Amino acid sequence: MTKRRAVLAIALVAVFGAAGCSTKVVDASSSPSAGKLATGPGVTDTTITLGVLTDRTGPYAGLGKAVEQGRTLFWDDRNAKGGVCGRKVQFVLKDHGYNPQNAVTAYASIKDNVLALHELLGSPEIAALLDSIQSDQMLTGALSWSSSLLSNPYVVISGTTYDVEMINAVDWLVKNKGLTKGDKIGHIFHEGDYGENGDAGVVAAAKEYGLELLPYKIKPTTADLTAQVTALKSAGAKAILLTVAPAQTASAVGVAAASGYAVPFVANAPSFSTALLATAAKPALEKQLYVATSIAPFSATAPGAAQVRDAFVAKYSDAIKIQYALFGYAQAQIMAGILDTACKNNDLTRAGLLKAFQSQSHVDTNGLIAPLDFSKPGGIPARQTYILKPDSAAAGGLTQVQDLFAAPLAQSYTPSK
Amino acid sequence: MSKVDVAVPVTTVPVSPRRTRSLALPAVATAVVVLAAVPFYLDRFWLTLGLFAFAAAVAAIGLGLLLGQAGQLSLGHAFFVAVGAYGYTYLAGTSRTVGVSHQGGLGLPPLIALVLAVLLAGLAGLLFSPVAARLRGIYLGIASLALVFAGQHILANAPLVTGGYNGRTVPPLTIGGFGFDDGAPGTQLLVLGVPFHREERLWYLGLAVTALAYLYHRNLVRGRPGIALRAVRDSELMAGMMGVPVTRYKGYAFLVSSMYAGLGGVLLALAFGRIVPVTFDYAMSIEFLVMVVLGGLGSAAGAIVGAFFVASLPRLLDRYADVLPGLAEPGGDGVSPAVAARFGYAIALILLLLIEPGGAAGLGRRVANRFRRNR
Amino acid sequence: MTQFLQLLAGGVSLGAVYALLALGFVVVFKASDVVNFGHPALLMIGAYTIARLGLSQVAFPLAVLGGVLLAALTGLVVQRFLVAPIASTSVVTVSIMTIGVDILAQTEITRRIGVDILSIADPWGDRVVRLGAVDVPQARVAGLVSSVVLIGLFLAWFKLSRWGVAMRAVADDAPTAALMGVPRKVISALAWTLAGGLAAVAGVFITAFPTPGLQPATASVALAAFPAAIIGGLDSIGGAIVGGLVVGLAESLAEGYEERLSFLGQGFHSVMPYAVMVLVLLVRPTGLFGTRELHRV
Repeated sequence: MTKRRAVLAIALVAVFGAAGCSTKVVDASSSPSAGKLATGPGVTDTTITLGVLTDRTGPYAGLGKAVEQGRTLFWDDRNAKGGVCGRKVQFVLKDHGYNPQNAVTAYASIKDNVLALHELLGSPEIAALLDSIQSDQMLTGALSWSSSLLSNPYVVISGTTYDVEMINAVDWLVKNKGLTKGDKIGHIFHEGDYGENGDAGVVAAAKEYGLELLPYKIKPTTADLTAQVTALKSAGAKAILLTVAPAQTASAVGVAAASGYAVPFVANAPSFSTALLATAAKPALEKQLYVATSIAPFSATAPGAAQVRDAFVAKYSDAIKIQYALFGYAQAQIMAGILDTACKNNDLTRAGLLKAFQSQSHVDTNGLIAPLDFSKPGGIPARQTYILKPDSAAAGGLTQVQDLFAAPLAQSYTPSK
Repeated sequence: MSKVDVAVPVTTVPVSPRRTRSLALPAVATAVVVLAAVPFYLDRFWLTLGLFAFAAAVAAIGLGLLLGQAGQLSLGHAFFVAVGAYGYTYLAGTSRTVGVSHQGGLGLPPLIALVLAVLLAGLAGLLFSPVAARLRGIYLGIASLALVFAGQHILANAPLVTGGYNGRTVPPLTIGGFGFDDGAPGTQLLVLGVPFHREERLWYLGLAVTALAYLYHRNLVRGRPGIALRAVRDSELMAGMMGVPVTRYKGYAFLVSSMYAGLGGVLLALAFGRIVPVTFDYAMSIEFLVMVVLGGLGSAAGAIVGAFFVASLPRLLDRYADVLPGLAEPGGDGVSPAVAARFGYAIALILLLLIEPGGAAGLGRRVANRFRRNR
Repeated sequence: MTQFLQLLAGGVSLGAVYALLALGFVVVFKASDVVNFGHPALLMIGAYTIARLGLSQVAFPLAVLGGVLLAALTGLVVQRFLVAPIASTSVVTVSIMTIGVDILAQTEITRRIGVDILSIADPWGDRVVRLGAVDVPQARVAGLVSSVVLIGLFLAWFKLSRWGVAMRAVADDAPTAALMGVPRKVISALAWTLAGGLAAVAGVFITAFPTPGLQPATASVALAAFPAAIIGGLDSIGGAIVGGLVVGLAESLAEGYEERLSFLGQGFHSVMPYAVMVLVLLVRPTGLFGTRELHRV
């Protein structure tokens, strides 16, 4: 018994005594980085490291992959031309599989080694990390367009938010599809950040245009929207808005078409996927669906978009062509712009990046995304939207029906409760 | 017909002359010493992994008690974990408006909030126990599953309490004046030369709570309540005839296991720093079940081992993806680390159960028996 | 009124498909006492095979046969190599092991499907049948008919054939059945094989119109089998059918009348099957038609 205790005591002393030799011991004499340029974590003399937390195995794996390809396209080219501040930009990528707990662990593992997060995919994941992003001063390129994220100044939303997209969608329906005051419209949306943000926009638009709104909230896993569409048909809704997942869009539009309910549907961008055009719902989608988004379609004719597209097709000839590849490129452009500004200010620290971000009042991505203004903290960065239409003959599956525009309400709208 | 058969370890309560004393306690004591030294050497990745593992371990011990000792199948464990996590967050949090989300909070001292949250989870368990008393076996299991879905529904539809889908921040724990967070800006806590941030401090909390949870379970199992619970598990009829108040003990089992779950939930919330509803879903309940069965039903040490394994494997595989052969690059085709982790975890589960249905505890017993025979 | 009839039709046709799922689940439980958490995986394996065969231009009936065979085979393999060896120790352990099978199968299939939505290439497409004022998709009508036929055949086999009687014997009293010479392992294997086949057929109708096709999220639809089986009573074949119908109707009506139920919170329809289940269990602790155990102390 005493012998056991002695052994235990010796072990304890050894273990804790050796702690002094641990690599975690703070060296009091650590020197600041040399030169005029102030640098933060992840910055060395030759490289800048940025983090990417994405989905490779969950429901948005395809979206994540396309964005990555766009990003790689941009940065390979840029690094070949010298990178940023004479340094090559490299990435640490982690797959959270659309699980917020994994995202938290992954973030913890990379946060000390990166200057900023080039990409963070998924509303639940962004929500789980909002406070850490704030306290770590980590500039984050969000792959979500929910305006509820704007309360955090470090979140970079590259595009028009879902609520404004829906406002523009309703405006377009009123101007082009004959909706008038007193008409009923339906909105089917996801429970959660994404859907509810869209809902906020539809509610505001319905009030503005005097329309009666019939909302239906569904779960992301609901497969069959017959009940909702049936209910809207009996109520006589003249148009239906969608803030859902692609399969659910196909279900809703397919059911409507099959029962002769020929109303127009307008959906937020994540509600559509090119893969839908390979299903039986294709004719219905091409006939009745429209997509409201601030990202240019893959088939866009603007010179900037066309150039990126050609480069993309040359590099990734078998990849699926969707607009998120263009988005990935554009987001990289935006981040590069922020880094360049920070470099010019001689401040490549996290605080410096924030300053650089907030100084960008007119960001032009050569037509890949609507023009962006980041200079009003907490403000919606872009207000304009394209209206696109599914078209299986077009590369990327979408063609343009309406060029970038912003409804009057979209210009003045601020999120509120 | 619908009785739940539970793998009964042969020596649940080792009655031992001195030489054949159970190896569990010394093994756990050694583990505690080693674990206490970890924050001095390992980086944030390991510490965060450990925090999640401790939280899971505490909750898993509770489920092990319910399933292994009392024989009650519950698939609703995630619900009680959620009650603990959100209970603490609401009780300790303050009313505020974040963006468009209004959140309420009672602003109680965090330690009080912790205790109340655990009691609240226990209360929830107690409220569910009449339902549990009426149901048996798999019926109870799937009825408890209803709790998880109802819980998800409530968490999403009560934004004032839960912050809705965006979740809410978890207030850091403070005991006395000592905060389990990064400390005031500009200050640093140095212990033996090593800076102690939030993760290092929480590590000791997790370790202490898990050790206490283990000891409490051990006492319970060896004492009268344990005997009564096992009697109820093995045959309610017989137990009733022997004078064990069956319904009362079923309620007791749910009360205690839910309190464990609630405590695990508070630890989980502290480890996260921010909780979102989607975490406390069906998959989480299944994970706890896997932890407990992998570890060996009826054994708290086994539950801890199972919890550490299940909580760590995906993250370990992900971290070491580039040195493990056969794993594709993230973004490439083929088997990514996350997919490989899932395969690994599933295959490990199947193989372990095929070899030793008693789980890790069963393996431990086999090893211990071999030791004893060789003496 | 039209809306109600429409929702009713939708609910019944969906419920019939759920009944197929619940039936497979209950059959396995009756024959081997195991809760098969891998049931969604059987559905996915069957549906995935059928979809891939369809994409390779295999005729629909043959594709369905292929999917059914593969899913049935999977059930058999699981029973033979994973369940049978340790079934004697603890059924809870075996049930947990089926979780491992489920994760394994679903992870692989999710990886293969990726971001696509695979059409099941059924011959009914998006055509609807008009019954009075109500539109019912042809695929759903086919589902209802297939369900009725398959369940009818199963019930006949169960009541009348030798193997059916043997299975009932094992479910009733396994030791005695063993003493009478009924090979329990064979019965168990038969049950798992059947479950796989039924799940594959259910998979066809779950991924046909009005859903666009098979994707990873389809597996969560199979979870409806659990409350359906419980509502009916885990050891009742007839109960599984009733349970499936109840779940289908509950979901359909709750979805359609959501505004009226909004006081219960939005999105209640996904909790509805479980709410119904709890209500049933409060009155009948072993489901509507489950064997009631008498406990007298």
